Amino acid sequence: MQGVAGKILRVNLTERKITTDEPEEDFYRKYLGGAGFVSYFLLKEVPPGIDALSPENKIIYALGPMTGLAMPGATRNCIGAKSPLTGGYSKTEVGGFWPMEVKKAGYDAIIVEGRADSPVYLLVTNDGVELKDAGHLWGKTVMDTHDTIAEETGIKGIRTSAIGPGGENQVRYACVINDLKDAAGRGGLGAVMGSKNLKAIAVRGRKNPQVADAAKLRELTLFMNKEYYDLPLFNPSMHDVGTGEHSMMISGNAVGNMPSHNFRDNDFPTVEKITATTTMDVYGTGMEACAACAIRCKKTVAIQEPWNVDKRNGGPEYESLGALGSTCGVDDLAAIIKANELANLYSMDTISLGVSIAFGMECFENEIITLEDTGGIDLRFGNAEAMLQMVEMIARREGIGATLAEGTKRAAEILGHGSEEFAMHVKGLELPMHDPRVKQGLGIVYSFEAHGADHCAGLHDTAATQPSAGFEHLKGMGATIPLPANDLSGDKVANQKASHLWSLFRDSAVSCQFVPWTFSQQVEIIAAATGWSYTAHEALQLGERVATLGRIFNLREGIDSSQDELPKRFFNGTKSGGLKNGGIDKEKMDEAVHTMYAMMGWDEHTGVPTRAKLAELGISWAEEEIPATVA
Amino acid sequence: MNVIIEPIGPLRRHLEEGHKSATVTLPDGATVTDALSALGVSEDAQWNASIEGQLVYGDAEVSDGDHLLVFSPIEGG
Ligand code: SF4
Repeated sequence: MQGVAGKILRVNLTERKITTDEPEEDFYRKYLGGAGFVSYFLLKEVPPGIDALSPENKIIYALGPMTGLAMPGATRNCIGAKSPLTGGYSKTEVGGFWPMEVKKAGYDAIIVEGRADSPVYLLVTNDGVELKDAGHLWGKTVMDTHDTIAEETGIKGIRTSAIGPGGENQVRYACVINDLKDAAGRGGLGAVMGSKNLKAIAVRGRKNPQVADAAKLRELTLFMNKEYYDLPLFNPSMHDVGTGEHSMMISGNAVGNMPSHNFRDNDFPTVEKITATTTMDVYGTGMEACAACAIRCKKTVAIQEPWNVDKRNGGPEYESLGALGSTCGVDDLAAIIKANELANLYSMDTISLGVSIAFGMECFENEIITLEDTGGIDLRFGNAEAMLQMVEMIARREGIGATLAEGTKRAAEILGHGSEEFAMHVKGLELPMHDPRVKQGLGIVYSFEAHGADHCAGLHDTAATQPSAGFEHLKGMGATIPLPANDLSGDKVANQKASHLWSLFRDSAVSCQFVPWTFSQQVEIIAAATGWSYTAHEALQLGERVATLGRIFNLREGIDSSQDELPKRFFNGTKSGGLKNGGIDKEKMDEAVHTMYAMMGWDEHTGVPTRAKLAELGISWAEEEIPATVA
Repeated sequence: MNVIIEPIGPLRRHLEEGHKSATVTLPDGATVTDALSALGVSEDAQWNASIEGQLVYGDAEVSDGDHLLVFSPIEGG
């Protein structure tokens, strides 16, 4: 095979046993990598009904055929496991440099099983794979962990994928951090590492696999490096300030898309103070990139006073500015940047973290959480100091922090007193910073997606309200016509389905969604790397395969269509601002979700994949995983 | 009738230097698309627009005194 390493590393921590699998080419072609591998291995190998934080869970780090190629958007990996946050299927993607090293060390994926009896880290190089003691690293931040491993191994250019105290303490939304600042954010997979006593995977590789057509890859790379800024699918502000540029956040706020005060108000007059543009103007030190990416969308920041923020730990993305900022009613930019740094050092997902703190704030304002519960902290919206204190308490599971570390769904179950009304999640995964009352089609995806409310898995409606190059591109994958953002017709469902399948194909390749590769360029890249010429049909089928396997995984865990629902808040408007005229029409949303089931080849009423669809996707083996109670 | 158009972000290039908004005069029954064409925004440019916080689309009629906010797609991760 070309373009892939041909090997999957398997590490059993309980037995301290290291083996390799060498799957056939057919397997690669069918599941490709990334999300495809994750969906396959989770359903095949994770036993039903297990506790996500038990040794029976497995965590899968999967690369794709693009990983490691010296071109923009290519160095990424996907991580998957049963989620401690949702109890269901979970996958999340991340960039940096670590994924490239794994490929060069000779692996397409790493599957970690069992639980070590004491903290360990995994060291992977071309010379071998070793489990090393991590007792001295336990309790350390991600940065200190990385620096200590780099120093003690003496391996120049070593890269780590690690957890900090948030993962060790099994905060249910702990994330995994590649190279200090790139987060595999969602679903709590850092807690799975923590539960396994796995502190980090440190890698240094030397050899890229042979590719099928190096000249073609060079040509495409040169094209992207030269042209990206002017390509119609590119947003130039990504290069300038990364996500969260001034006009995007200001206009988002004007129409009600910018969550504020736990999605209660979505009207945040001081939004200019917390945009990415302001961040760069006031605290910016530069822009950095993942390996070989010309776009350089990663902001770096530094602060000396009132808190020290080290630029090595990265700057906040839009999601972090919104979640730790406006969602908590906080417009103190330095505090938001510090909270973002702490989230990276401690390995916690900034979205779930911010939304969980905002949940705590709304509970506090409604006297469900008291001053006694907080240890005297005045947990009101807008209190930046209190927000920062919560970040620390959650990471250490201290006091009320232990409740908020459970995520909003479980925290509401613990607190009771109607607090579920303030829990902004789908299936347990907290909502990202794109309000489904504005982007109603994205709300369909938030509702039905296997791992909950994910803003990377569907079409942002405001990008498809009129004919454009972007929309033309999506048409080639089955989109119908541009539609208003609040439309929930069958045509809108078709647009969302097209975008969803495209995202799952990309997540299997594993390629960055910010790089404006077109669909045809994407398949050209895969063909040039591997020699496999995917047609549009085959690529979109791959997306369907990933979605359908994720669906079945959830059904097996008891997560059925009753959980394909947005929180009640989104069916109402806000007091002022862009949403003052009302929220989503619930009946229309329910109908759209059921239309999506039917379009996916699942039962229109129950959302259970049909036998015919499984056969069409070549995954009839998955039928026996569907519980008899729903089949 | 007169409609005020306030572009945010890159679409500001359609304004005279130093201006935050422009006022365009339109016939009765004019639409959002007509208002934007009067400012020189081409049909294939990607934009969103709102009046008083409500998203409006190309064929929506505008009224005298409307304040039209125009901006790029709101995306970002
Ligand atoms: S666009 Fe940004 S996130 Fe994507 S690969 Fe390039 S630098 Fe990394």
